[in-house]
Amino acid sequence: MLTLIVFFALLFLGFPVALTLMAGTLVFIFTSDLQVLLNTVPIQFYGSVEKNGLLAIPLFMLVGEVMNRGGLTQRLMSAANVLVGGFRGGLAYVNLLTNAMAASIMGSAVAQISVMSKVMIPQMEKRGYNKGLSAAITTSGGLLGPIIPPSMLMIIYGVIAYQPISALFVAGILPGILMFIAFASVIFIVGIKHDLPKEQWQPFSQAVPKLISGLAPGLIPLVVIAGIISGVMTPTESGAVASIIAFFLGICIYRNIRLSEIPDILGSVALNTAVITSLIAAASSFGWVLTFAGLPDRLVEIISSMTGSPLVFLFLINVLMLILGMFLETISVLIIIVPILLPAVEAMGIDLIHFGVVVCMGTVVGLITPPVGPGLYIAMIQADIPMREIFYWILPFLVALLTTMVLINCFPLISTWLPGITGLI
Amino acid sequence: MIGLLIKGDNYLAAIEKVLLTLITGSLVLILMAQVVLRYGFSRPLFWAEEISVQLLVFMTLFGLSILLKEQRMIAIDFIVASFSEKYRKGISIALQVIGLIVILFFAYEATLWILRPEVRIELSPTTQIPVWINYAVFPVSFYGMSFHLIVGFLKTVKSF
Repeated sequence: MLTLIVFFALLFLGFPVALTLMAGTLVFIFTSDLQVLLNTVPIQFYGSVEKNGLLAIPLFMLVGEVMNRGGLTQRLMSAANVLVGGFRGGLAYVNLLTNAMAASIMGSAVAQISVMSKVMIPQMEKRGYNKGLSAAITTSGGLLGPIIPPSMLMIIYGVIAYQPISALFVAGILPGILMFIAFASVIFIVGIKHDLPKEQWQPFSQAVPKLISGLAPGLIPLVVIAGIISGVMTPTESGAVASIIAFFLGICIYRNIRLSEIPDILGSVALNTAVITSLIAAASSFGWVLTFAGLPDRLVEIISSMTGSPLVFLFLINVLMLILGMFLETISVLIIIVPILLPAVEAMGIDLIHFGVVVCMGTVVGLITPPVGPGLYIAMIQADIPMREIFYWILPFLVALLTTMVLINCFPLISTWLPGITGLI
Repeated sequence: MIGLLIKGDNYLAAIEKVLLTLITGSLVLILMAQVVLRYGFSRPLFWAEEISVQLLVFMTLFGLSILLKEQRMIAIDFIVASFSEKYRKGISIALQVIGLIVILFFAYEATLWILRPEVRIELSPTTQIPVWINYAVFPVSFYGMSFHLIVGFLKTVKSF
């Protein structure tokens, strides 16, 4: 009990999450009669990062960083403009489609929202779109990042829950498409209600070169997904191939990246990776001592006494993730919660791949729920609007997202069908 | 005195950043080479996986040190942000002291770990390198973090 009090007190006083987890570990050991565990703390900390699956994280971070500096967003946007720009509210669809394409390259919602909001919000504002709406679409589109493969959240979940990352990547495809359709439907309705501007379709002669140039980065997700589905490559290997393609495009084809920029890119990748892997190391030690405290077992008992239905259990998890996501940073929620919940999930007979999709979706909702919601803050600062304005516009997207989550909870096949027919589970 | 410590702290951070860049570059090159050699020439590097994983751990440890120094770690700061500056500084000093204790404790335990006889004789499975050499990065990086935290603490106290 004292461990949890210290943990939450430090957390809400602004102590870094990783250090809070480490402090919680020490407090538990010193206040229990299990001081023999001290000998094993360094092994837990070191061993939790010593995992092959985590190697994919720096590689996909690198792909995102290289493609960003290589002008990926502009090219994807031009291609998306050719494909959907002529509809009513064309730029809103362009924003969403660009986000979906970028999601299949970047894998991180926060990184995606920060990049896309710099490009899309000013463009949409210039064309007469409401700033709040532009920010809301950009933020919602960014949420596709952790669901459509490759996804950092799925890699982290796979490592924590000992599930195949390949299967998790493929499991995210249909839910990602569903989310895309749900967000596009919201744009369609908003477009009619608020009479969004109707854009012009581009002439064929201009459209083809833009499409070719913009779709070249599409090679990256193609290789990643095809490599994984065919079973030829592991996620780490597909990340390495994606990095080679990204460097080739950025340095040789687009010529936007100078060799002198590479150390800076590597430094940035290292720090972004360390943010995630240090959290994993710290949370692994904390989760490990919580197991000694019997917390997961007690949680299983409490949940079993509340419900025997896996579906009700998943809804309870959604509510828990939603509440935690309102206050805690998203990756931290996933890293802290999953090891504690896994025994209960297994006791309920829920498929762990399906559960991975459910918790990753639950986690991304936290990005757009105040007061923490980092996704909202990024777009809010870029659009220079108050929180209430962006929140007003994002509400219909939040409803669409929650509806998608309910569908995925009710129909596990949405997440397990593709990995099943491709032989990954 | 404090000026000298700050200078030392900046030098340490500069060394860590160079190490981080080299580690990340090596990791990426090894993984790319592994794919090319495996699928292009059917000659995979037998040591690639072991070395890559160790490099990832080093990246985590030195990266954590830089993140601590530059105060870029993820934290829930919206509650503290609503306090007056005086309280915020007081809390910041208290948290820096707690952080220093936690980090020093981990550094101490990690030192004991690598000094254990069974760890000193253990060899890595593929490269046969004594594993304590890899593990030694743990206490080394944590002592570096402690130094960053001490200097950060002194800077905050001075500005109080």
